[in-house]
Amino acid sequence: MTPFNGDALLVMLLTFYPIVGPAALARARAERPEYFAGGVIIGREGDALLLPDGRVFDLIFNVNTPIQRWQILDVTGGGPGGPDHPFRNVEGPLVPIDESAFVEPTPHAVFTPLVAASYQELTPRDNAIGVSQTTLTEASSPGDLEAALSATIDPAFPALNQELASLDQSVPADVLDAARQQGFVIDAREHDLDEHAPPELPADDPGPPPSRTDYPDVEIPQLPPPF
Amino acid sequence: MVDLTPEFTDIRDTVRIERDGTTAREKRVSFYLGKFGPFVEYFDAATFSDGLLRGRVEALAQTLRAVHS
Repeated sequence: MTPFNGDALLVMLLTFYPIVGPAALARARAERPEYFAGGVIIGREGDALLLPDGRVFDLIFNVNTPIQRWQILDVTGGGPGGPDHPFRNVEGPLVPIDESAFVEPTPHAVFTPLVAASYQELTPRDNAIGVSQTTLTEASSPGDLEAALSATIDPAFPALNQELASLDQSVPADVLDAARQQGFVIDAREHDLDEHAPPELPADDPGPPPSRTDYPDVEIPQLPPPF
Repeated sequence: MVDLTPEFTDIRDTVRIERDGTTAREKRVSFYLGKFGPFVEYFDAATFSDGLLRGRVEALAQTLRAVHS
């Protein structure tokens, strides 16, 4: 963005906009926005310029009067450079909290003795578990497991080799011939059903209806219409 | 006598987008007149010429002379 220069803005207005007024100022803002450096036209009469840094310039002397003319007048009182920090925060009524006013609680060892006592109770059980694990490790010998496997389950490789040998000897043409012969054994043609449906059974007799005296008429009250 | 020697700092081609969506090619010229500026002027690219630029620069210089006389 072009930096703001009041002299350049004033010279531009004096040179290219001889008819002074808010309308001419708005037209200059639209046609030559670079001179306004991102500022916006403000004011009840539309004769002031508000810059992004907070400075305000009155650009028309005696606006809407016969003696109006262009000017560049800083009305923010910040001098040529403007205020140091136009958006600086002001001092407020709130102050930071003094953390030293809060005394930190003294830690109490509540859980340490509880954990120590429980650990003492668990120590003999842990020793017993360790002994049991040692016994199981010594008793679980892989030699016994292999002996039991060889005595109860046949070796897999001879059975697999036998199956593979039978597959090698089989001829696919024989399988196809056998499948073709199945057509003579199984009759796959369409036939009518050669069975008769069983006769229909008579429906159960529900009996005579009950007499009206068992269920006297009840007068149903009439409800009023909804509207 | 104030020094108003023109010093051109940037001349570039730009495109202006009108409110109806149409575009227009422009030339954007930035310059100083002595210690005054920067001045930024736009010209229609189709009719831009050195004479047009010189005339606008001279008009600004005349105003500056009148203000500082």
